[in-house]
Order: sequence, then C-alpha cells, then structure tokens
Amino acid sequence: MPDLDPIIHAESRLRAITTLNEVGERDRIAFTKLRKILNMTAGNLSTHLRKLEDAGYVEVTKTIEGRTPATYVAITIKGKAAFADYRKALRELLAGLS
Amino acid sequence: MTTQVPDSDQPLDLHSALRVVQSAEDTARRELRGNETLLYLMWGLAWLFGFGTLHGARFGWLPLDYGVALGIFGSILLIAVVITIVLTGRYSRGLRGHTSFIGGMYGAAWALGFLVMGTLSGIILNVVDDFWVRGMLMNSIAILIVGLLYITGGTTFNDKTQSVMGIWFLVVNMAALLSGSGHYLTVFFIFGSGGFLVAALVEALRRRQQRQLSHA
Repeated sequence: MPDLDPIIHAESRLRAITTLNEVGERDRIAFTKLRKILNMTAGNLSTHLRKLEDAGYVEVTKTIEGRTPATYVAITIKGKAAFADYRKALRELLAGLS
Repeated sequence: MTTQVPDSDQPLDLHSALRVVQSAEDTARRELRGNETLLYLMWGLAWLFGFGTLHGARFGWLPLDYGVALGIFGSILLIAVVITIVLTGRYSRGLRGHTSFIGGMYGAAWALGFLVMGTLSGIILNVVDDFWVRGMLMNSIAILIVGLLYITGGTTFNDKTQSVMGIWFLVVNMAALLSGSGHYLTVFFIFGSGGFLVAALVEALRRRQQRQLSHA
C-alpha cells in the first residue's frame, strides 16, 4: 500500500498546497490573498508554509511593493510532484477500501 | 463576519483528505479564475437589451428616438465593460508571474483595439454619409476586435468555449454585414446576444460536469 506524505497529509497544509497547485508553478500568490482564500490566521498559515518550505514544496519570496513589504508564495516543481504523488496514493488507498 | 477555519496539524482519515482536496480546489478555482458563466450571461443580456433597444427604435416596436436608443445602448455596454474590468481585476490582484504578464498584455490588446476602433469611427463619421451604413461599419469593426480577441483569449487561457465564441462572433458579423444595413441589427440582435447566452449555458454545464468528475 502506498504511503501518504506526512508533510502534506494534515488538513491546513493539504488545503494550502492544493490552492498553490491551482495557482501553478509559473505564478506566485500574495500571502494576504492566500490567507483570505484559505480563511486562516496569518500565524497559522506562516507555520504551515514554513513546514512546506522546509520540505522544498513551496518557495516564499519577500519583496517591497511601493513602501509596503509583501510576501509571495509559489509551489515548486518538487511540491507539484509531491502533491501529484499524494493524490495518486490517496486514490489508490481509497480504491483499496471499496 | 467570516468564521476562520480551525487550524489542524492532525493527520486526516482518507475520505476527509479527499473532501479537503476537492473543497480547496473548488474554492481556489472560484477565487482565482472567477465565473465565466456569469460574465457571458451578463454580456448576453447587455447585448440583448442594448441591440434590442436599437432594433426597437429603428423598427418602431419601441417608442424611442434612435438617438436616445443609442445613448441607452452605449450606457449598457459601458456598465458591462466596467463590471468586467472590476471582476477580472479582482481575480488577478495578488498574483505575480506568467499569468499576470499575459493578463496584462491581453487587457492592453482590448484597450488598444478599441482605441483604434474609436479613431476609425471618427473617420467613418466624416466620410460616410448614410447613417445606417455608418452604424453598421462601426459596429462591425468592434465585433471584428471582439471576435479576434476571443479566439486568441481562448488559445492563451486554454479555454475552448471562448475561442469558439470568437469564431461565432466573426461568422455572425460577416452574415450581418452581407445582409446589409437594413438587416444588420436584426441578425446581430438575435445571433450575437444568442451566442453569449448559449456560451453561458455551455460553461455552466461544463463546470457542473467538471465538478462531478473531480468529485468522482
């Protein structure tokens, strides 16, 4: 039976990486917009993004927009592959249950 | 007031994990790409009422002076343009990278296209005497831009419906032009707005099917 990646297999991180996968690896999304879509607190989202970043699944970039600091987040190629593997493993495990 | 989703670092059971993925995908698509069905429906109604007002004033089934009808037509289209800009701007805000570049260029193509159309319309006003031929020429230039940009928009954003709509608008434009200035409005009123309304229906059905497939 396939294993589910423990970095992804937790609700908040699963929601975050699913959303970033929809944004795609060629685009970056503002932290504030991502937070709004996920309806999470800034602190919680930062914590979970750090875990995904440590695993190399997302890339966090800090920049200045006008005079305001802004943070952008993007899924990496490694992250996209890990998410695809996760979904495949999930499908196989669910098929095994039925 | 929105309720924040409770934070969880706990592993999920398999069915919950699948539900989380599906729900996050649905939310992300809605928040990042907007709702084409609503946009097509809005434009279909804008053309239906806009061209309908012109048609009614010209053929006497609306007690309106043609100048007033033109004013109503222009106002309806202007409102539709503003709503489109606000909605598409809302979805693209907070995104950087490839999509924002192609989105910016595509938006510029619309703006520049209609700027050229406005300039050409000014020349047509001065050189063409026949009122109805003038209207037909100006409208057909606008639809030429719409048709071409819908075709390229569809290829750029991988949206087959949009490209097919572009082809449809060009075909209707050609048919309306060939029917002459006496029937131009009738052809456009029916088949132009009809194209948008059918596209809204197709898009709604496609979305429903996509949701069912991803939830299967």
